[in-house]
Amino acid sequence: MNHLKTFPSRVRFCAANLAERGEDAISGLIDLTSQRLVRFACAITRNQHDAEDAVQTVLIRIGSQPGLLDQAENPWSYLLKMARNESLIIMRRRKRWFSIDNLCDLLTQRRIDEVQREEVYREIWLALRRLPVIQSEVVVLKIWEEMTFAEIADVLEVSPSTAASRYRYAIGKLSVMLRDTVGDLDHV
Amino acid sequence: MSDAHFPRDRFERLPAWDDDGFDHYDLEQWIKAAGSYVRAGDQLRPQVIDEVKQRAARRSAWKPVVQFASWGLSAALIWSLSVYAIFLVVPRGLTANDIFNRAEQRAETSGISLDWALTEVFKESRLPGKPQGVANQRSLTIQPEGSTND
Repeated sequence: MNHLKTFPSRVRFCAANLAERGEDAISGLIDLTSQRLVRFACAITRNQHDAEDAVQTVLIRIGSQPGLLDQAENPWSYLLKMARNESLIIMRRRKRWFSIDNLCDLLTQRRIDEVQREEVYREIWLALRRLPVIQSEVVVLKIWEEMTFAEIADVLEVSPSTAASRYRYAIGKLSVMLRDTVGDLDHV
Repeated sequence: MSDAHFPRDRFERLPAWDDDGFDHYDLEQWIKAAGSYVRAGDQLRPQVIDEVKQRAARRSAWKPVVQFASWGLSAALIWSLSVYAIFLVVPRGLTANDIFNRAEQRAETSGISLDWALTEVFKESRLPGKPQGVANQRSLTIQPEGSTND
């Protein structure tokens, strides 16, 4: 099962399974991708409820057309694209105002040995929310999805150099924003 | 995410940096670790499965109706095409009565014999597209009595 070591290959396997078995196989895809899709959508919508709406719409569409994902050249990139498009639609539709300066909407999880790190994680999520969407989505794809700039460019439909440039700007801003946080913690 | 990069001690695990800037590698590692901090809601999975199943059930309920409708539409299309072909496209020739009536009329008005009038009527009612060479050759062979080919 060496070919299933990477995450995209596992998504491809799930997509093939879905095409073969129909909608009954959707639960495997949900278990595999939902968290990653939600955090990616969260980086765009900056709100977990909207992110989950977007992901739910995407997964329902995939479940209703089981062959759709299997036909894609790269199913994981295709899913990310779908989640991004849906998140952007929801953002455009959204009328209500909300603050990006708190994380009340986020559903979090932490292991018992990560309690001390929670404060830093929260600051990182806040900092990501303060970034422009075009930069935060590149950070998510680069760091959390471990994609190359060429793969990121494919998902975001920009050139690889644009993706790299956005990433560089984002990391620069994040380092400024997170410097104070980590500095304060350092004195505790 | 490997914990190797994050020593348990709170002070040691903070990313190293200096006045010139942040260590980007450490920053990336921190961001990476924060990725697992947020999780999907508990309702997402059951809601998606439920909706997918409902849609599948709706599709299977409508399937016979759609199938029947498509069969009906196909049959109606084939029938209407057949009717169009029979009544409008396929040319209908003159009946024997039509030809005889025309020949009689022509014989009266032109003062020629009924036989020759019948020949002319047949010649005129020949379907378009027939080779004219053949028709001309035939006309040479059918001549009224006493007339010449010139």
